[in-house]
Amino acid sequence: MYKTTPRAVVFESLGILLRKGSPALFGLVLLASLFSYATPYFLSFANFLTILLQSSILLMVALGMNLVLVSGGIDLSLGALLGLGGVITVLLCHGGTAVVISVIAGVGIVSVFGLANGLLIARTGLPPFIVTFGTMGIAQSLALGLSKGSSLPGVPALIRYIGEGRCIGIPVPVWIALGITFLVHLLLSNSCFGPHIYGIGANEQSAILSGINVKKSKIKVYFLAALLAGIGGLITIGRMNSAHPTVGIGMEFEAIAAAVIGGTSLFGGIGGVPGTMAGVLVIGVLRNGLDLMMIPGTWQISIIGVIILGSVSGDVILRKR
Amino acid sequence: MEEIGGRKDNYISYLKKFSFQYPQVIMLILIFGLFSSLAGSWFLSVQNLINVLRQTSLLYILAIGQTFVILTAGIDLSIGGVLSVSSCICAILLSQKLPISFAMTIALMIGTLFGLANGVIVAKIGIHPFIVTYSMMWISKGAAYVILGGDVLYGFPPSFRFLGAGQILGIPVPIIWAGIIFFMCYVLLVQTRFGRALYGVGANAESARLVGINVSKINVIAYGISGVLASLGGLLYISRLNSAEPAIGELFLLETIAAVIIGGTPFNGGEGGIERTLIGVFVIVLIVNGMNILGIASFWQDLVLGVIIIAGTLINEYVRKRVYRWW
Repeated sequence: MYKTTPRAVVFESLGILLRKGSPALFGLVLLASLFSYATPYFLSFANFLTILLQSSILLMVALGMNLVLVSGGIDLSLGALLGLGGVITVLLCHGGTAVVISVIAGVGIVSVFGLANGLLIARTGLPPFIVTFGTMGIAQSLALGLSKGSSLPGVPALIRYIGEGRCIGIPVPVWIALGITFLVHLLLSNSCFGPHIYGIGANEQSAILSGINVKKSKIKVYFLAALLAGIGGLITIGRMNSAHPTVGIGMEFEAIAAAVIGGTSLFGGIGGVPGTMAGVLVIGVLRNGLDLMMIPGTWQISIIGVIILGSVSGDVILRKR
Repeated sequence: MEEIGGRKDNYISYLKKFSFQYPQVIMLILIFGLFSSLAGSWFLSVQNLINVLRQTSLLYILAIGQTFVILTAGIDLSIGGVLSVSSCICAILLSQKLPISFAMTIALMIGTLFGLANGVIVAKIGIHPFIVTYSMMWISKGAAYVILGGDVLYGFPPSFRFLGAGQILGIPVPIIWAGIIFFMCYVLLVQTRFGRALYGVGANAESARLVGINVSKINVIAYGISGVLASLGGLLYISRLNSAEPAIGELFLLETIAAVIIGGTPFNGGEGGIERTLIGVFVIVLIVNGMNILGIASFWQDLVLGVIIIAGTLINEYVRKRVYRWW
């Protein structure tokens, strides 16, 4: 008979936590306890909501990036597309178009970019890195050119509600993020599309041989990623009450980092929505905690770089053992 | 009769073969022709062409480092950050009235250290180069801001300015730097065992290991070369600008990668070379220069660069498939 002591239970659950591939969760707990110790402002419900609010935009981009990474690709244009969607929406609103139509147009144009990414990658067989690198330049320059390089203040009330309203005490972006996360999770785990993209990412040749329409699935993946980035752009302009063309620069990299911290493989075939969520929260908690500890932004850049590198190295080393 | 016909055929097929093997050269000629006709007199003036060469040499030094890394099937995103941090350190040392050789040595060592760190993490721990060098970009960029604190340092001693802005026998010094570095790196790539091994590692790391090549050593050296060339490029750049600030490295990353890809060194590694990258650098510098002369706002220039990156790769890929089919 096994004797169950509390100590054994603790060790066993720790072991499961480490083995079940959730270093992101482990890091999250570690960071949260560190910051709770370091600053008195960290551990409160209000601050918890702030972290969720700050993370919701990155979560949109990271979910799309996770889909793309799982299919064995990469999408560098997502950050620039997020900025472009906001600029187009606000410009149309300023031009007198109805709010709903300008929102649809902004998100729609961004999705067309995603479609173009997918078509180029699936039809011509060019590496995703190059295609999306090119679209990143194109989208960034369109955003800057259309807005003439300055930020466009003044956003209609409906979009502001999306960005900074509250519903049952919880910010609207958090609701949107939760809903979309749930939908993407369903898509990955409860539809036939999910296994298809895992299969394509793990081994494209065998995916083709087993009858999966690889080209169509790839186009869908890039389209969905761009669509999510467009929604992220909408939340961003609502929160900032202005559209800024360069707001998304670097966000694609943060999203890649979040997905990788959450256990998504850069080589495709591995990754899930819960992990990505945990990865986004790791970055969110880190930003928030460093802000609360009054660490200047210049130091934060370096610290986050070191932590991303450290956590990914730790993950790889642990997996090798 | 038959002989002449045969010769003519050979001549045409040689031209065909050349244009299919080096579509970049055709692209370069087309771009040159386009801007010559659009912005003729000023674009073709000696003053402007020397200016183009000067810009080419700086970007080329950085792109050579990027080529080494991409040949190993990796990528170095930290070039801009390493450039910033090492040139900021050099500027601070110079402002303390320390000897130029000392300041430059320290700056080059910092760049080399960043590059070697990239290489060691990629090779020994086995993390994707994308993540490693991207984190290193943040670390080095943050370090540059921390060191200089948002200031701009300007006014360097004349002998330091000579390195980036001076002339020897009417030739700008950066062009001479680029020539020397091209020669050294070309010999290293083509004439040495290291060069052969580099191509082997890029083509197939596993078989390179089985043949007895020390794969991680080759990787570490490639990233180290990229780091040292990035910091050298930074020193020449601040010497020409006569000022240094943390943000100077932002522009270069996109341009170096575009130059390598347009030149015809694919991301898969093991193929291409630094002489091809030179063509890519010329394409980019000519386009940017031509657009500046035509007065196109800088916002729209990235759009053109983006289209050219995609179109250039498409043409390269298409042509490569055709070449395999025909010859």
